[in-house]
Amino acid sequence: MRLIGPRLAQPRGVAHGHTVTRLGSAIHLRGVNHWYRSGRSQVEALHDIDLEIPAGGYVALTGPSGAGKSTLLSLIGGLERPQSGTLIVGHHNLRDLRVDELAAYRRTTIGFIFQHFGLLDLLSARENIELAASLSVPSARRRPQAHDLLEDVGLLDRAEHRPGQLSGGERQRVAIARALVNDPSLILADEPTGNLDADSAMRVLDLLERVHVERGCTLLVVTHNEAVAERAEGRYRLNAGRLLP
Amino acid sequence: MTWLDSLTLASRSLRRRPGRALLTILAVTLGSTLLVALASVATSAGSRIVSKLTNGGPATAIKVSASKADSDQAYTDDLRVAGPKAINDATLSAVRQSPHVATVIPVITSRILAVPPPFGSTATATSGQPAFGDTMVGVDLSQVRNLPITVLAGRVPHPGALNEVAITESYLDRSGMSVQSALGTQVEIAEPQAYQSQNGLQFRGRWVRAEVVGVVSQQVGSGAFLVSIQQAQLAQTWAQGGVDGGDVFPLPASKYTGLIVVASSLDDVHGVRQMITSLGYANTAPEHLVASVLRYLRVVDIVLAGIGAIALGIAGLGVANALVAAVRERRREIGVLKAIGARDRDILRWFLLEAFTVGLAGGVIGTLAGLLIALWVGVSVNSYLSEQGLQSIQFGDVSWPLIAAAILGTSLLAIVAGVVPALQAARLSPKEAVAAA
Repeated sequence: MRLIGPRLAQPRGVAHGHTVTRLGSAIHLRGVNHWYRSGRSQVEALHDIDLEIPAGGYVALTGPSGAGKSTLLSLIGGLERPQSGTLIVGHHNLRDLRVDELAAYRRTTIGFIFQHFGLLDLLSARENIELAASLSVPSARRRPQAHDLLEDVGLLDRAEHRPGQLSGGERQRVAIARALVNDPSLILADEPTGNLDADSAMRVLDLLERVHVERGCTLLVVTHNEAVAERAEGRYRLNAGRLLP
Repeated sequence: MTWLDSLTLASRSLRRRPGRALLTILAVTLGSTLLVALASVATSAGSRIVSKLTNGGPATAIKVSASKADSDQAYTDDLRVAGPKAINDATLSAVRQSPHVATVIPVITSRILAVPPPFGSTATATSGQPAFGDTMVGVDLSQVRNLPITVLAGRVPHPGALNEVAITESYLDRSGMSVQSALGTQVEIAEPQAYQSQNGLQFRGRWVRAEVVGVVSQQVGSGAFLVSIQQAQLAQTWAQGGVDGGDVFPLPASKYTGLIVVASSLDDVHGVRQMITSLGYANTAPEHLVASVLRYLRVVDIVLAGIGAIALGIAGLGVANALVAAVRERRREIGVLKAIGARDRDILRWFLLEAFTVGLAGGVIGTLAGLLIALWVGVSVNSYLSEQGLQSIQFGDVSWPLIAAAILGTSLLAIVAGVVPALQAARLSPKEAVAAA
């Protein structure tokens, strides 16, 4: 990892009235451009994005399909590098990181939550969490940690069920538990309620917000859903790759 | 992610598509079955052919005669004799200390008079000869696996036994007995000694009654009786206690009638023969014949290996095809794993271990099946040989190096076949993988 300058995130000590022991990562984008090839043409996915999200913030990102929301999430999550501009998350300058360093960044800093849940069908809820833990947690601590996380999301009694045996809401709660396995400082949720009914969606959002408050991590939610976006502390809108004021 | 984590994930992944996994394992199984069966049958047949050439002894055995070597001896497989030359303990020691000599086994032969049953003046004569002169061949029978001896029925006498004898088919012909009727019977053997009496040169015998414990084919020495070297030494000592019997029964001029020298390897046979020739002794070994036959067998091996390799190649393609399909199916899972921090090498290891598991399972099952097929071929061939009155061939010997090579080779092949799809999976961009969902 390459350290750059002073850490952007400064401890707040208290978040939403809860005492937290650590703080999330601040996100800093300056003049970020990103494009990709589609056949012979070049499509501009993001154009000159400037964005500041404070450490421990809770931000919603909205916009129509194709606006660049998922691309921006991928860049912040280290799934790819921006082609130009500055992108700093916590103390990581993502443009400078090599492939293995990006993997380590995702492993130690990011908690991903997908619309499609992203659980492995062949593993039980507990095993899905243990698999994620296997990337960073010593063997002896994996099972107790999976147990604690499942208890935390209220699914201890469903630990040995496979994703196919769980409801959509339960699957997303398992996915949240998995995202917390490395105690991330930044949670990136891509349409976390997109495949859920209204009741399950609210329960999942409640859980995400509780995690954000209790753990002090930064929470960035990409959503189409206005009701979901309204719950965030801050809100940004993307359209055709541009961040609207 | 540890190796065990990757292995667990690989085995779980295989179980998700049991039909495809089974078909892939079956393809590998068929390839390894064919290779093992061909190798096993070819090895058994090849060793049988070489064994036949050397009459059951090692292909590296050299027969040394108590004779002077002819000047052409070094250039031919045959014995080239140019007069008698005694073999004594000094000769034995010199040969034993020579390089590339694995074993040296002395041979003592002795002229005898044999009387097959029935015995006694009241006995009814059989269709065979009542008594006949022959030769008994004495060797160290604890070294029987290094000697050109094939046991056709029963066994060879115990090492050191003084009242046991194995006979050749020559004895059966002369006594008019069959293999089964001869086994367990007794034969009276007179070891002669010449002596001078008032009536001139006379002969007397040291009589021994020995049990026929086996029927053998042997090329240790020319004679119908195979006995322990101790029994032959007693006969020799008894003969030397008398006088020279002239052309009829000359006194033994050499302590040992011959030697069986086993070279360390086939490549050493020629050198050892040259050393023996330089010591002045005539010798014989089928080195040129064996080398020629081995060359033909090598060609057969190459052809069979080629067939097996084609089968394994097809199996490898099956593994690669299954993994390519798996990578295509699991783009989302790969993407998710990468998104949560898996490194390229974690993904690579997952797919390579999946290929290894398929290869290992196919290799183990295929090897067992191949050995069973070789055994079945052996039973069928031996049944045919038996109907034709020919000696059977021993198939289905468990060759541990072959088993190890087959299982490891198949596993390695599966890994090699899985490299390209595994690299594809490992290099999949996490963004593309997630987008594929």
